[in-house]
Amino acid sequence: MMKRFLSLLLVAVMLLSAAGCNSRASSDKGSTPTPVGESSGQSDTDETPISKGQINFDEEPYTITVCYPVMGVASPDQELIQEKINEIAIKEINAYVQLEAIDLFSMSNTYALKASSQEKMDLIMLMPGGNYLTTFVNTNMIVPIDDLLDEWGPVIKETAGDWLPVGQFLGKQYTVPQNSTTRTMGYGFNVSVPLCEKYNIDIESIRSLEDLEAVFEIIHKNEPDITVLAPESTGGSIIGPVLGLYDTLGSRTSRMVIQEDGSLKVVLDMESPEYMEAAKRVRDWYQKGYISKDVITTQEAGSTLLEAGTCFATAIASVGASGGTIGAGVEGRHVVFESGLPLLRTADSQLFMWAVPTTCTRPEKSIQLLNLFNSSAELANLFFHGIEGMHYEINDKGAVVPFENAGWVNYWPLVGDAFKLLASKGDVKDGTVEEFRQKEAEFNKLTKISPAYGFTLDTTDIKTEIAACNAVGDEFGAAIGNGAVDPEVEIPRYVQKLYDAGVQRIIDEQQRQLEAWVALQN
Amino acid sequence: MKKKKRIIWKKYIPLYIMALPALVYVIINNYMPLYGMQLAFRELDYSKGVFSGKFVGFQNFKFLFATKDAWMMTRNTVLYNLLFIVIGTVFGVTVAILFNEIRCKIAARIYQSAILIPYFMSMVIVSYLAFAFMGGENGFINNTLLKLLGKEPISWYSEAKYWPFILLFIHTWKGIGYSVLMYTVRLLTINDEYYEAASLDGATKWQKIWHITLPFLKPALILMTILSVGRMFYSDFGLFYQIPMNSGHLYNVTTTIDVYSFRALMNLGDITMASATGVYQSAVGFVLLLGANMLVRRFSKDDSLF
Repeated sequence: MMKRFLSLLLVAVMLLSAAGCNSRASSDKGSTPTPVGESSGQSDTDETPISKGQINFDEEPYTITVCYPVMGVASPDQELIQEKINEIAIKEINAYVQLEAIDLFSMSNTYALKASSQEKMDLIMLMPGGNYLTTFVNTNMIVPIDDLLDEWGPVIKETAGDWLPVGQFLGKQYTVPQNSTTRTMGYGFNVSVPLCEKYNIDIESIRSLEDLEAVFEIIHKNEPDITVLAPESTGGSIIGPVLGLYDTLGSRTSRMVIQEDGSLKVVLDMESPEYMEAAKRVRDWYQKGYISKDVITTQEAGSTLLEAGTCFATAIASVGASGGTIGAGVEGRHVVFESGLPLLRTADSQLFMWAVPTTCTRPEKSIQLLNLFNSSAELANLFFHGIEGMHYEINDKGAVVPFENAGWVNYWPLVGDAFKLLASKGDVKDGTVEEFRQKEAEFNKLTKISPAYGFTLDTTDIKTEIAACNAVGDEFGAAIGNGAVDPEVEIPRYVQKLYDAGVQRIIDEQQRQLEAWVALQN
Repeated sequence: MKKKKRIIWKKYIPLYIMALPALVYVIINNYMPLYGMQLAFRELDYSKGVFSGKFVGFQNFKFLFATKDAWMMTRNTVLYNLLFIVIGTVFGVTVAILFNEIRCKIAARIYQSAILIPYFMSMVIVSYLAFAFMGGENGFINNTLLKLLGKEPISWYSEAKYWPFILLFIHTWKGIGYSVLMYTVRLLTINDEYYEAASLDGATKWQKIWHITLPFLKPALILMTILSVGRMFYSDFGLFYQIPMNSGHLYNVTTTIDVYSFRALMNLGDITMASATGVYQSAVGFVLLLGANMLVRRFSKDDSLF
């Protein structure tokens, strides 16, 4: 069956690429009477009639295809939002926008297929951008945009500000990182408030993993039917918040250690004593029955169980100022320890990144549109929240309350200046918007910045090793990370298999590139 | 002479027309993708469409052989298939003969239908049935069987050593109805007179089976086996991906070539590397098929494929 599916896929690729080439060649001549720049990213050639930063309104409006991520399929009102955006876009930059929703979970495949068939894409979001930046640059998927930003993106540069460097690779700007009001999130645990109240547990008093363990014991003794602890999502690991945050430098297996003299050293995470200790702790929880015996095979996310009241706590990797991502109707509170305090790493700022693909014939239009989104709070809010009165209302505290079953749902603030977006009720909770902003500012102050912030790993020469090590990680990661196997037996096997898969080359390469990067910074 | 040939050729035209849809299907599905094989030898470069990338030789195959994955998935695919062929045939024939001995026609029909039902079940459903038995928390085996025997519960989905048996069991359970059906059809063609004659000569039941039933089954047996050997390098994706619930700790014994290609494409999103897997599968499959055919030809020339 699978074989057949793969062959079909290949046929599809082939046919599309043949068809795509022809139609593109002919439509180019038709729709763009004044060719402005090539896909290489230079926008001012001799024939260009427009001067720096001046938009040409005499030409036929260009249609900008924007690919943005969704969970599943596009919202039913996508076309309506698109029309509203177009009303503004045609006036401001003489262009139409064509929105195209991409399922987050098949994003890499979708872009790969679209690009290989030369399908029209003008502005694409990479999410999480850190996974794609180097690969897409190395495979000529996206173009450098330094010159375009200088010419067409003054507001983009202002908004992105000090985020901009994380969108660079090998000294060139390839992507525009999308800013957000919370710099990055921390690791921690979500605990159920009703259950804590029932057993008189003061959440504020949980200050260490040992405290938390004591609470687990109480819950497990009194509520034997309740799963005490679960990972936030399926396929996730509980070990994350136990380990806390550290810089992995763009790989799954490395850990950056700051040595006493301040120099940075890359080591194999799974070999570190911290990893063994954390794995043993999780194993202990598993054996005591706090963690479900089905944890690695279950298809139900911890967040769902917490919502259903069949779980006491979840291990989360997204603790923000407003308390992590807790579903509607759940009374949960987050518990964060010192090790889980937010740590700003390159990949954290690379979560949402906009890029211009090679298939785009008018890259300057894409940048103009991005610039427009960043300068217009109206547009940014329209794209994030939808239309007021139709998709949401604003409550007396100034927060956005989305309607139930609204026809436009956007999970993340994807575009525009995040500080100009209306705050959501889910974040603001009971206070006012100002109070929330205050809280957020305080939270951002807690954020530590990794010494390697801004460093992006070039994976070109270690592609093979990374793929092989990821496969090993799939085999061991979840089982060890959720305590399903004995770490004293399995971690040495894991480490051995990683070395067999060439992890030493990854570490050496990271060390070399990191040192070169540090030297460049000084 | 010439005229005769043309007449024969003309006679076959309707047959060719009948075969046309299937031929078109085979060309589109099996021959056109051959063109895409070159992807496995190219560098991934999207700027001018994927087929414009530089030729890099066997670069893309490196990741397969960087670990022992290539060996592991080849070993799994081939050994599981061998096991399935042998066990499936033995069980299929045995059960078919047993069914044949049931004299009450209604009972035979009921049994036959019952044994066929799993064949029509989706692997996803089977995977949850299996989970109901082997689940760690509420699974039947851990909570009832092992408790009765006073044994420690086993976390089935993280212990690789049980899985060859589990997969063999599930495959046989699911497929047996179909093979029994194939053999039963053959058994029905045996004239009762043979058995009556044998009875008159004082043959025992065992002798009747050995000297009458099995020889009649031989052509069907060889056909079924060749068909299976021809598909030696394909595996039932559902069986190896859904039943173990994609549990990482079982990869060593559950990763077959199809599962690996799927995972490689999903995780890496790298078309050229995924193609490399596909090419590897085709190449080794081709060699294996030739080998199997050679063997068959040596033992029974009429039954070989070519």
